[in-house]
Amino acid sequence: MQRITVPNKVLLLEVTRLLDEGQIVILRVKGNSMLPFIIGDRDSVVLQKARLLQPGDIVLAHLEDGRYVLHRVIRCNGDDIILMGDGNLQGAERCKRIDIVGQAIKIIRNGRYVDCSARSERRNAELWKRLLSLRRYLLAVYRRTR
Amino acid sequence: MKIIEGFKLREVMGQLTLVGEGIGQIDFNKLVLFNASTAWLWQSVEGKEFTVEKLATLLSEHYGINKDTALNDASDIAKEWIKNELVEE
Repeated sequence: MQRITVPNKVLLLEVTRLLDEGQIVILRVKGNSMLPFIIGDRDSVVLQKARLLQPGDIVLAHLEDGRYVLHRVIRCNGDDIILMGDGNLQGAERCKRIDIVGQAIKIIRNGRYVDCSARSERRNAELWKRLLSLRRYLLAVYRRTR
Repeated sequence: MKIIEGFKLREVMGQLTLVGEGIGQIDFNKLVLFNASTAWLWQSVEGKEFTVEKLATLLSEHYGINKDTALNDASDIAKEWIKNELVEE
């Protein structure tokens, strides 16, 4: 059997449909926008339809320009959600509550299941957020250690 | 041999796809796309005990191929299924 790659547009539309049906979906993550917490092409996320959103949650969002991103919620202002990738130095995304397709309940990090709501995960994410001004240097160091 | 508990044939992206739903999760890292004939064969033995011979009989009856070819194909299919842990002996 061989691996096949499907374009995001097609795949994530299907994922949206399945999540809306109430299914839980596991997806391999691509890209580095969620470093150091999620490593693209290695880690996967376990997604569920998003319920109560709060800052710190990792969500799959369908942005206005058609892109899908798996980023962290920075702020919720009623219906407006601000997202940012942990691995991004700048640039946050804005979307509406309805654009949130799903929420990561677990990360499969290097083969191990990690609960996103675990205190240590939340604490590390919060710490990472606070160190935003140092992120460039921290990521540079992190990349050298891999 | 028989199909391992928890595998369901679903339509994903317009194609008949085998999904391991045993633990209620659809793992896109582990989907299996079936062509129409493999899907038909799978559905014919769902929930039942079967042998390679049974698969061969199904193939030769449904597709009108001779017994030897059918047995070869059935044997290959059964091997793939077992190798990919979809079926247990």
